[in-house]
Amino acid sequence: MSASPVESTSSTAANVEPLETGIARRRRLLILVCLLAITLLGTWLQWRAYADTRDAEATALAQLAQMRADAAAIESLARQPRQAANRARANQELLAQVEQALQAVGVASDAWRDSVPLPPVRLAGSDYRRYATRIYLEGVSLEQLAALAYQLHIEDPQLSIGAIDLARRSADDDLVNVDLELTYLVYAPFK
Amino acid sequence: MKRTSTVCILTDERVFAVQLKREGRSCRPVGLASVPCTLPDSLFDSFDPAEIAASVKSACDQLPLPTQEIDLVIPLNWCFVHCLSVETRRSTPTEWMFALEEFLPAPMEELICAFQGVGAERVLGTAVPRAPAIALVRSLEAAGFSVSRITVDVLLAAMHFRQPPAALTIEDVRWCRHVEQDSSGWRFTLSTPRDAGAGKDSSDDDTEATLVFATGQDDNSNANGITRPGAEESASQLADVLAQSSQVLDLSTGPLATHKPVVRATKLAEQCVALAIGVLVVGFIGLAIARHDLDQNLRTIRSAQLELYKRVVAADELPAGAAARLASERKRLEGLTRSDATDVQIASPLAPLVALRAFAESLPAELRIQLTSGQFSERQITLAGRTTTHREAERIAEAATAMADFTVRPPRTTRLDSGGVEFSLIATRNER
Repeated sequence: MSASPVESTSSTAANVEPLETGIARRRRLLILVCLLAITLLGTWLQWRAYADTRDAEATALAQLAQMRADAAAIESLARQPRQAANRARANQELLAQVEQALQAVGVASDAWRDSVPLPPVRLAGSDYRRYATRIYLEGVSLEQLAALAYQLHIEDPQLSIGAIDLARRSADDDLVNVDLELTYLVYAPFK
Repeated sequence: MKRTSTVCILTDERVFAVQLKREGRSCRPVGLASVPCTLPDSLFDSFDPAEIAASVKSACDQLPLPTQEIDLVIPLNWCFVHCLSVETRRSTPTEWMFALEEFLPAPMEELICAFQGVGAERVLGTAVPRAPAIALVRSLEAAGFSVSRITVDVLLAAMHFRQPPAALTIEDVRWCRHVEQDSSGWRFTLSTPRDAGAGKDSSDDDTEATLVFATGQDDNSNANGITRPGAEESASQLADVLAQSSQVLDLSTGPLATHKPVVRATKLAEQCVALAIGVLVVGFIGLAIARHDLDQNLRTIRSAQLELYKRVVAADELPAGAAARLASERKRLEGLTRSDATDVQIASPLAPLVALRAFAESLPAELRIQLTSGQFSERQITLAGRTTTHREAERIAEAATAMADFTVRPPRTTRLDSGGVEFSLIATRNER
């Protein structure tokens, strides 16, 4: 009897592992790898969230310090007199102030001849616009002029004298005709 | 193929260790040793695997070369063997195990199985009891060996002799293990030496082969003077067959294959992955705790910001750009109060009057001047008037130079027919 040749069949070749062991090992490794991937993803997301929160805390701390400085400055500035206005005034409002000042310094109302508002001008390189009105007075003394200027400034520190043009009415008269430029600033920063 | 290999053959009363060295295509035995060790008749019998492992170690220690990896040959009486037909199509290992289970006295869950094709129509299934086999392999590993292959003695010889015999008998002390071919494939039997010996000694059938492990020495002849291989020669033959055969039925699968490179690698990979998962979990928890603390700090900071904001602006909640709003309010107030001293173009509100006063204070008391007109602005003072002489006009100009921040040009004078001098004077504020 001749010996049969030894062969291995295709899918049933030698050393077929018991299913529950070989496949179970590979399955276990696959499950572990999937768990590793999930854990890695979860940890990475947690790290991102932690980093974001850390940055937010640092930003909030810096903001708080700045807010403290700003709040202290605001409280201090709120107690200081304002030297510029938020908005342009109505012309009538300004003229009413002039009339009130003229009365206060004893200048007759008929000495006030005219008033001409000038177009506002932005001061170059600043956040301010200058509003000016020319007031024409006739026959006032220098003392009255000085008193008027100070009166206007005391009543409203925002008002200032931009220019004064004096002209003596006559050679033997101490009274002068005055062309007074009354100005105030409006804080209007560039947007 | 490895350069050297060590084959350990377990027989009824002895453990043989044969060391072979590869020389080209053939193997040459370089060492052989045996130690007495009574093996159990069956793996279901109780036995001490450590004792067998100690005998293997004792035999291997007598070999010339150090041994770490061994191929193990176990006796047929430790296994269940059956040939299955391939007529019934089975595509998964589980199906083959279920098919084999029908012929076995134990359920599949208690066995470790291996299969090998025999011819075109048969598959040989071999099974060993799981727990005892695992215990034996673990003991060998504890003794410092890693088991590369586990195969069955009679199977190895019958299938892998250069000229496989039609029948083969291994004569041992207590058991004779016999295999022969028949129409159904390979048939395996066990018998006692007395039963197997009757009528066999005189056989000169060259289709039969006999390996003798009954004694520990070479037994050269039988009653008819036919030389048979002795125990050591039988061991050498088996070892040579195993060393040269790569495709043997190998029972070292699953839990018996713990030291195979793939298994080792898989286990190492599992341990590394498990360790990495553990580290990541710890990291995750640590980050979660740290983030929780940061969140609490952030809430505290936000509360402080809200309190600050409410102090300045009447509000119940903190808007999104609260810091920017406060900064904007500060800038606005700085602009309204003109507390920013960098704006050099804005002069004092009474600059012209101040300039006039400065001019008047600068004039000498005895100077007679009749001012006819004057223009006073932030940048320039223009005066026109009359005085007595040209020299007086120059004195007026000199006096005007006393005004701080003003540069005075020399006066222009015109003599009047009526007497006196008309002058005009221009003073310009210096650039800061």
